[in-house]
Amino acid sequence: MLREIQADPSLVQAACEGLKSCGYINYFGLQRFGRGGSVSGSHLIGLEIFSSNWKGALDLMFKPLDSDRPEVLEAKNSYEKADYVSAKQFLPSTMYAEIKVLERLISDPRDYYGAFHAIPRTTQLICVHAFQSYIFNLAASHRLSINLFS
Amino acid sequence: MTPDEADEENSDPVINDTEDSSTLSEINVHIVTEEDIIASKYKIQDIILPLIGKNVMLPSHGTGDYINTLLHERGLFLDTLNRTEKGGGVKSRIRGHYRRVVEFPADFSYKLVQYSNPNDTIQQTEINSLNLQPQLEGKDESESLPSAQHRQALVVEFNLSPGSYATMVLRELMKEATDASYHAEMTASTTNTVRGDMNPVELESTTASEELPSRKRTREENIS
Repeated sequence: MLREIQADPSLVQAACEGLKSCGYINYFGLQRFGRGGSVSGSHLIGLEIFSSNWKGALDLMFKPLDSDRPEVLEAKNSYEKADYVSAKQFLPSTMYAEIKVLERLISDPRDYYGAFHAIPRTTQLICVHAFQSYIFNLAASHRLSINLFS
Repeated sequence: MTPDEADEENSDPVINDTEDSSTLSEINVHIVTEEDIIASKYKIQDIILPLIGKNVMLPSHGTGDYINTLLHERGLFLDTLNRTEKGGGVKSRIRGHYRRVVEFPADFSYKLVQYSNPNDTIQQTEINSLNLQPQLEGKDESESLPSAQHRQALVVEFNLSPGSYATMVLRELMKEATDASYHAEMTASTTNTVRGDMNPVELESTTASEELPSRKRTREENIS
């Protein structure tokens, strides 16, 4: 239900009929890209994965966001100082992926590959898919702008 | 596009069989040929674009170059990605596949309804979608609002294609309404406006799946 429609009913009907006959661009929705947006969104982590830049991927996971709670900011701060023990202590238990990363870094601070792969596989793949979706969305816009079909 | 303009250097990938396969990774991708265009073999909804991974085919037209540019700008190269990744790491699991560029909502229906209280759930009086004159069926004694203060809402229902997002369907709808409104203003000097901003909370929908497409069409993605 879309509320507060201020349009004339005939416009609404035109819009609905237009959608029926012309369809919609099959973009991936914003839910695909996670909380970090243009700062550290899943698609950016996905890019690091495609580039095999494991440290880059981890750094993005721990990049501070405006929406972070104080204890999360503390944890991220500690991460930046490579104090992985403190970082893990600050993190809420809900941040399971980050905790697994820190556990690996505590035992081997330079095993960035291992630390990334300590993340649950489904979570890893979310970042891969987000990057694929990001490129797809851009390509779809481009395709429809070049207008090769009638 | 006329047949003269068509050539294989400017051509889309499409799905080769018309079976409605929702996981497109194993499908037969075919680059549209001139004969196909003359025969009107494919429709706009057959056109697909890749999700980047091993062994994906790019369109042979400008968008293919555009995708390569997007990747190169980020230091990625398809032939590097195509090389087999050893070990069990995430990169060995990246599979390319394909997704339709344009979709149509199935069984799309709509109706305009009226409500007065912004916190009301659902319809009080209904407006037939073919007859868009509002009908006020009888007011509560406690609600003696003049009709000018009654609000309109649009209720839409449709079945969502697998992997598609309801938010993107609605985005197109609002955009069309905004476009239509703009054209109406240009031609007929009306003063109607459409509220183009959509508060996601208002959607009251079941969430579109974020996962890769499931095999079946989703039932009744009802935005109520």
